[in-house]
Amino acid sequence: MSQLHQKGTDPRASQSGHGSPYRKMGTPLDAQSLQNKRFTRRTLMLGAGGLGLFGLLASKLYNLQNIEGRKYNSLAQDNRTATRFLPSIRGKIYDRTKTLIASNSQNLRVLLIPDQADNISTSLDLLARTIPVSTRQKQRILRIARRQNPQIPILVTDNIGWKQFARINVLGKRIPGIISDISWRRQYHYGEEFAHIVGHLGPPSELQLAANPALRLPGTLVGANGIEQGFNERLQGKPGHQEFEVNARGRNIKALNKKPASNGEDLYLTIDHVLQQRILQRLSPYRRAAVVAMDVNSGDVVAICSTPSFDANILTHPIDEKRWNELKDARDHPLSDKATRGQYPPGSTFKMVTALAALEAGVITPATTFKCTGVMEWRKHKFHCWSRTGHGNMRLHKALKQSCDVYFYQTARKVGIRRLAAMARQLGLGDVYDCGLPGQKPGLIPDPDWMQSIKRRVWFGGETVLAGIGQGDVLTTPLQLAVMTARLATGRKVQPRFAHAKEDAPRLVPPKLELKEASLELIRKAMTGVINDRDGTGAKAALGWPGLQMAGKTGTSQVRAIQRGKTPKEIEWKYQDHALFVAFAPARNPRYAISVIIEHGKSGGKVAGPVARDVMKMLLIRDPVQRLSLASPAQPSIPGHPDFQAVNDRGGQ
Amino acid sequence: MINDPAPLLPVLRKLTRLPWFFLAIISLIAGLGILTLQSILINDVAIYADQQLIRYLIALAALITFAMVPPAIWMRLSYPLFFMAIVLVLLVPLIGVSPPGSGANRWLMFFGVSIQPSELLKITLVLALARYFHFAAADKISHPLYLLPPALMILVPLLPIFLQPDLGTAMMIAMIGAGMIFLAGVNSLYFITAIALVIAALPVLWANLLPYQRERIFTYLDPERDPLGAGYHLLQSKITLGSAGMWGKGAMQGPQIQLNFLPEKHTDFIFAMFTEERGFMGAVGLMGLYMLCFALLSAMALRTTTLYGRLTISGMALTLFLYVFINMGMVMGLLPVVGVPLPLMSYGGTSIASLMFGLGIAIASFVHRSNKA
Repeated sequence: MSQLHQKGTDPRASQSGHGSPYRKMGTPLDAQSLQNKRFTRRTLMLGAGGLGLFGLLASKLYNLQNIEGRKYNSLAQDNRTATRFLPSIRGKIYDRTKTLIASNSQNLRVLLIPDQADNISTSLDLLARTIPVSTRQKQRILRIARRQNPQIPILVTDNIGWKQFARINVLGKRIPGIISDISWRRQYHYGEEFAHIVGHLGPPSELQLAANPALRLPGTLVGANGIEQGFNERLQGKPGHQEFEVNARGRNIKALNKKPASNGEDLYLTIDHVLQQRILQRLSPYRRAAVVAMDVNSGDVVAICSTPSFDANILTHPIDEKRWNELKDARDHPLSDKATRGQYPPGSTFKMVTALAALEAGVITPATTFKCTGVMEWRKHKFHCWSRTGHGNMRLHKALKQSCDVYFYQTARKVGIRRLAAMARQLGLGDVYDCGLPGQKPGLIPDPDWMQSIKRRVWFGGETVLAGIGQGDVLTTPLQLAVMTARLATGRKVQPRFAHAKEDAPRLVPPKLELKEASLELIRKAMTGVINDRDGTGAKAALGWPGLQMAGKTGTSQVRAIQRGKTPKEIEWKYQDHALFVAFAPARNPRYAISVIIEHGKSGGKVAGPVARDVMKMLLIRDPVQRLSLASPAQPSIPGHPDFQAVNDRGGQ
Repeated sequence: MINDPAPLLPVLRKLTRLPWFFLAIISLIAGLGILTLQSILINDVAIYADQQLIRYLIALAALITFAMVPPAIWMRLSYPLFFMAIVLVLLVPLIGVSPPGSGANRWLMFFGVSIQPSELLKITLVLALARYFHFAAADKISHPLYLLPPALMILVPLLPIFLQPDLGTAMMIAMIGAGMIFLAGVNSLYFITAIALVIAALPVLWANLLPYQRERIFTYLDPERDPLGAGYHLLQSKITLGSAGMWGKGAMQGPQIQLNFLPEKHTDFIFAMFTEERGFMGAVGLMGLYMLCFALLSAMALRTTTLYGRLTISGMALTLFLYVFINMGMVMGLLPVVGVPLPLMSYGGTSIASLMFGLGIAIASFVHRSNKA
């Protein structure tokens, strides 16, 4: 109690003491000593509580060792658990016709579990007596083993034959840590036709590994490009796991918990493999070309081709460096998808945008006339028309049909760059689409804001003039041009679609664009004239089928400034103009929109036009609705195409 | 200020008044920790053990030095130190760095030394509350107005830590604060009401937890949910403890540790490693040593004459207890995995330093206690 007295002499005690010297029931304890007593009591209370909690800890530990201990002991001591991942099987990919595009084939593998091998090096040497194991392989395995959880198996060799597999199964049991299993390997049935759009598989990135450790399983691949990447989550599924009790030698003694893998969902593409094959064949004479074809009502992309192509199967399996470099550096870049990643000046195919922007803004009417003398002089600059002699007096319909540059220079000047750019964006240019396809390039719709923020200079009026005919800084992808055409054909905000998870999933009708139907109709009429009138620039693209017309627009976009005084033959191939063509058909009640680009093809009308014509014929003949209406004896045929022949034969019966 | 009857005690007198038995016990615990760390060899060198030994010796020297300083000085420094710790905690989200392998920003770097401000906060909170109650009128401390300042002292630093988010530290600070108020003698009705409120608030708290925090709770309730992901840690820890046996497997003989099954074995999970090597008896013995620490500290508190001294010593005892209980509970799977080190055993600089500093400051009041001798 001596402390308490001491406390009493504390000067502050007398200060605090005068408040209420008496507590409950008149007990003559002042507040200070009550606090001291409370402190002692409460310290003991906390001490008792602490003792109780420690008792709890000790009993839990005892419990862990004795009651649950038997389980943990067997898990830990000599018989430890081994957890094996059960890989999920990747979903299959089908095309529009329910034909298998990507599936999985069995892959027989040899794996090593570092945890179960006493000495990894010795185990691999023992294994080498049965199947070849190179020094490089060995080093790779040792390197991986140092880095990861020792329970995760490491791939030694895959894709071995049944005979070797059987030998490993018998002999391998004596090598600690070596196991064999069957896994699945991705297989592309139309590897070349779908290489760009479906993509391929590749090893997961560090970022993906960090997010999902299950990907560390040997040989686990994820979508590395195209649809495989865009729909990876859905296709991949979720791996399960199986726990085993294993003995000191790593052999399974007993299966414990099992969580089965949930396999990936199948995916249905909107694309038709037959069309892919035929279009690629039609493009074979050209070095670099791309075609996109879509259903204008649903936005379903029914064909998307880029040539040259490559076999996607090559990239999914371990590829040696030499072969990879060959493919990477091959002429005309087969790895690049020109349909969604190639950015080209749209040239005259952009003139619909200019015309529509002007009509909507009210700066021109169908009767507005501009005179084309072959050149427009403006602010000391000369802007040439492709026709050196000039087209004479031009109105909208004729100007679009004959693709008069001067008319659109004048129109672009009147409408201004901001309204022009806004219209281009409304028609789907200058941006990527949210349709699950990674790697799309956005193209470029330039405007003064872009010029200021990226190029750090002011916009010149002459650039508006050039943009009016799809030159200058304007860039588009073939996919965007197809979407633009589909939107012009329907007046709706069509969005491209490449795949859906469920078969025959319903699709909402896209909303209407804020455009006057009359303006659109003028454009469509002119586009019909481009192909079907004698003086149209796309006359070579005429289908030649009575009662069924195609509407479209040619484009010949310059890679370099016009080189006067040189005949086309003198210009090097890589500086030749690109040939473009966009089209939709039937002109009345459209079903399909297409875009064609042939790099350095020189002329949109003469080169891209006939390709567009043939592609559209293929589309219409494959179309279940059109097929019926086309089945009349008057149908012409395209030699060499069985389908075209077939229609004819049936028609003849 | 504080009535210090022995301000000018000669250093030798002070040394004799140091709680040498207590210091021997904590050194024994730290020695066991260093011995356990000997089992982890990196390139054949027990680098963790060597570093930890040096750190402990420096910290012990600091403890003894701190205990020599008259408590009046510590009392005067209590608020400034607490304020500094709050500032450091607030700096963490701004200039904090994350330790390798963890996503949380909990560290600050000063001249190449990394510190965890939340560790400092726990100790300085004890000092600040002790100072407050020392001067608060004993008969009025249960008045709500008098409780407002300590409540603010606890809640203000709690908020940034809660937002960081470091749920484990936040809970610990709340418990230390509540324990201090309890020991200061505040009416127990407050505590009964607070416990009732906490139970009522649990559903609301649950709704506001971050996904990773919920995931920890789920895996805590059922570690087998995800044996290779979030539950791997706990499952391996339980396997290590459960397979240890009565007398353990001996130094460097534990397969779980030697085969690297258990992550963070040298820091937060050192108890599992110790148990695997020394068995159930070793673990219970270690718990006994810790209990002895608390008992000795409580006895010191009761023999100390000033309220500041009593509260700092028992506050440190409480902090030590919470660390030990939460860490062991976490390793055994009784409590969720919240990242709390085992004091004196776990490898790590800030935790051992801040604890030893705090003990030094608390023991200063014991050394300078007045008695008839």
